[in-house]
Amino acid sequence: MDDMNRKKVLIVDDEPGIRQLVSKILSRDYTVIEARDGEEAINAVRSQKPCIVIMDMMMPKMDGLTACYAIKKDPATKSIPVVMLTAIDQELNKKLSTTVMGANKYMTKPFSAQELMETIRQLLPNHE
Amino acid sequence: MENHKKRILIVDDEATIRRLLSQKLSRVGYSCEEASSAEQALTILGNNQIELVILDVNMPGRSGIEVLPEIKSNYRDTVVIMATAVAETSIAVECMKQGAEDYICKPFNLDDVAMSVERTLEKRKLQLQIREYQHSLEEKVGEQTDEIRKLFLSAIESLVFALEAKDKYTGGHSRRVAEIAVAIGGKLGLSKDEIADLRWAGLLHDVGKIAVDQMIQNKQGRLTPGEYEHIMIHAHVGAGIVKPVVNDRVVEIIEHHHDHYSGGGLHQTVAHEQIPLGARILTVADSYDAMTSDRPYRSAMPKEAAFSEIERCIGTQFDPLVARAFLNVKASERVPAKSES
Repeated sequence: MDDMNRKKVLIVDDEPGIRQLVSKILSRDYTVIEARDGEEAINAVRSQKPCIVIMDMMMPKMDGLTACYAIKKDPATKSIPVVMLTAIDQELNKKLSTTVMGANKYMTKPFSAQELMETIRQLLPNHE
Repeated sequence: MENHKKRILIVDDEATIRRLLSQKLSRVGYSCEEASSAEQALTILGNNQIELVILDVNMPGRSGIEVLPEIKSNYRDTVVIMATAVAETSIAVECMKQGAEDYICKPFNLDDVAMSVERTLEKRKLQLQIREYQHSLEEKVGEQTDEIRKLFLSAIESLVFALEAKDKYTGGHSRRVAEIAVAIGGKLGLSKDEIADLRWAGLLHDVGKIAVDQMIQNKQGRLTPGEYEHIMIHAHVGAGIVKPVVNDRVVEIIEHHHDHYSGGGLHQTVAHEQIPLGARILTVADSYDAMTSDRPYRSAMPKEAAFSEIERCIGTQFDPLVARAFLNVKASERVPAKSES
């Protein structure tokens, strides 16, 4: 697959380790772009139009819930699927991110490479 | 005997028939009134407590058939027996469909008449008992509904109290906002239901702060744009939290309570009159109470300064109509009530 046609995935996490891990898992099939907090994420979503966003819930500067809300409120970006990542598996967090904030999926850390790939495949429109 | 008290009105244009019935029914213990026309019957019904009417189908002027619906709708505790000629039984049946309880045929067998009267009065007694029973049931249901509503309100107040207990700056804020919003709603002439919505929305508008980072909420000094944006998710989160327990109008008021009238607020999708009126009211009440309370980054503003600030933001942040109603409410609070000169 040539670079121009590769789909872009945005990974948003303040931990470099997680960003690197996700990059490593996905770089074979996707172009991975990175952001370190919610504000960077919103900018990257607006300027780079990734086809999916994988975002941590708790981050400095701006948390994932707030950024998710901003992405989902903006008519230009609201159709981009958002996967919310969290280290704490709580029903409340799940409900907040999906039912209230409109995230398309909720995933707890740690996750397996397979789990991540499968989630992305499910959420991408016309997945092969 | 109970029958002594029952009053019967005999309506017939023929005096002999009235006398005949009256004599018989008085003998068996009823008190009888007589009317020779529909009009006279209605006058007597209007001035007396009549339990039963014997109504002639055929009378000059308004017939018994014509006046029956009026009697049934105005005197629902009065029962009616139609008096007809034998040949008119189909009319009598029609009258029963319209609410008459029984019919008797001329020429009368007086014992049959007395029997019909007794039966019909018995039926009336049962009807009244059923109605009484229904009424007391309805009252009971009403009382219990009130009780449930009170419990629900207490539960909500506890939730709000729990939230405010976490934050020393917001103690009593929600209750005050509810009161101010209700006062503005009253000034604007809103309905009872709309006022009730405002009270709920006022109490619950900040419930979404439960999802807001305490460090950011209690931060001393200016918020960064990202922090401000984070705090502002509370409107949407609050709407999501209360959705299962309050009506949609209250949810919408909470969702939009930080919308700017001009449409320039954060993530705003509607403007002006598209913003729910309750939200336009709540935002004025909320802003005023916030300005006149201490905050981590500043102390309370004097009331007069808050009034000028609201005045200044008319048309941009606030709906002019709502803001003026609020300023009027506050102006009338300041001036002690005087007799008009």
